[in-house]
Amino acid sequence: MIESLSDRIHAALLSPRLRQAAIVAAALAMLATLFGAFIYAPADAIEGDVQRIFYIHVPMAWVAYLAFGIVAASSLMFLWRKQSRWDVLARSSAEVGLIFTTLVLLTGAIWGRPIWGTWWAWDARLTTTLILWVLYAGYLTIRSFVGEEESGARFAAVVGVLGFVDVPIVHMSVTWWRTLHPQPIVVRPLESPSLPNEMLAVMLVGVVAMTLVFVTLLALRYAVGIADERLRLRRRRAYARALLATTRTLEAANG
Amino acid sequence: MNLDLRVFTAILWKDLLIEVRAKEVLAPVATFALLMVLVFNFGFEIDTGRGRDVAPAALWLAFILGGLLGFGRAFQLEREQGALDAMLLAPVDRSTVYLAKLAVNVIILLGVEVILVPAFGLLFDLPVLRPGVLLTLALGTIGYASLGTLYASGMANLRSREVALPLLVLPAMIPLVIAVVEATAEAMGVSPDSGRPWWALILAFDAVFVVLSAALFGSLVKDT
Amino acid sequence: MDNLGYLFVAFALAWALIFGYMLILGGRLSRISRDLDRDDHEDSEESQ
Repeated sequence: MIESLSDRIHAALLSPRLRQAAIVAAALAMLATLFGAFIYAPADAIEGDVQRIFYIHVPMAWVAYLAFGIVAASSLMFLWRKQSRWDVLARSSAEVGLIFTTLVLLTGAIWGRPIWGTWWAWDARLTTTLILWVLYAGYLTIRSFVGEEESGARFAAVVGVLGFVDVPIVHMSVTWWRTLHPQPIVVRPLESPSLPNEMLAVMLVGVVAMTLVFVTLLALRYAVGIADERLRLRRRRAYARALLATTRTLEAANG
Repeated sequence: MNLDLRVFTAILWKDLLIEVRAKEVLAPVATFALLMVLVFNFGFEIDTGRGRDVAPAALWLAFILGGLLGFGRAFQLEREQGALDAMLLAPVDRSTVYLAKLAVNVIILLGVEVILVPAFGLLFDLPVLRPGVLLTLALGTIGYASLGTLYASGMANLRSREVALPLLVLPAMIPLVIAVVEATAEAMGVSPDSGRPWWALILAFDAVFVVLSAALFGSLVKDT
Repeated sequence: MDNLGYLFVAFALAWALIFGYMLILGGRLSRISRDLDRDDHEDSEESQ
């Protein structure tokens, strides 16, 4: 059951038709988000137009957590099933997730500047996002160090699982820590408690759109990873064949 | 998981004997940590009133950075003679091997603290021998060693281990660092009581990472 | 409140990074596919 389901997941990620469909769907959903963010949704009464960053900022944050969740799930599957495709998926998802985390930090800073008067504040949510970034930047750096050996992939999988388990602990510790220190002057928290319905609707469209963008990027990155692995395997085989041929020639010459 | 106490004590005894004879980890790490405290004092002036607040952080940073040196060393010794491979050939429970290695690292790190902490207290006239401080040190050491032992064993045959270990261990350790520094500061009376259950956070961190590391260690070292 | 510039920069940055990353991935994929095809070609020549 699990095997056929995961076969289907991996086949779908690799299918060019699905990739094209995802691109088209993502583009349409993004157009809808842009329309919603710039035209449909009203300008925020206090923050003005810059508040419209919200419609991509929050969806990107959601996608980042989704991506790192997929890293942990694929890592577990790799440790359990020992199929390298799960390892490729974990690595792909971490890379795409790091791109989105970077964007969350950047758009957050650009939003914070006119509203808080500062690019960065050590508030709990921002700090957690920054730690998330460092965690997965470390993970990807290690991946480039360990090379392609299977033991390296297993190590990366363990790190992928533990990193995700760490995230809620990080958030809790940072929240407790932050409330000890003086807060920067925050005009208003990022999400107001009572979001008008129009804003909420546009935000949800944004979540759908960003998720589709994520699926597109993940499928593309995964296809690159799988093709790369195939190429490496083939090169290794060609090398082994050449070695064998040379040995035979030498034997023939000596014999 | 099927813990084998005989295997556990055998590995523990062997490693501690090696450490006692070779003195490859404890002495250099303790010296390095003391050196860090010295250097910190030139930067933060912990001895004066205004640097008092950063004293707990300086103590922990010195200890953590020193510990990073120690973890790598411990597993390098195993690799050099293929001792770990030989041990893993034996049909022993992997979690037991991990827990024994963890215990060795905790004992050595506690040894470092026995040298570092009184010296720190003397140098800056801080009350380090309070039960709250000692308990925090002990619990924090376990959490720190749990991740350090696991990651160091995964990287034992990696060339760029010295850079790679901090890159993984430090970000994952941030919640523990926050909790132990705040708990130590409150126990020393350097900062006011925040009313936060820091110990609960430290205990949760210890429990989560000791259990998960023990469970995952087997898949990490399998057939290497 | 005039902060439209920030809004524009934020969206532009997000799209630039996403599209840039997509282009890089597309380039890598086509390069690897080409290498795979070329290897296929060489293999079939060798076996002749």
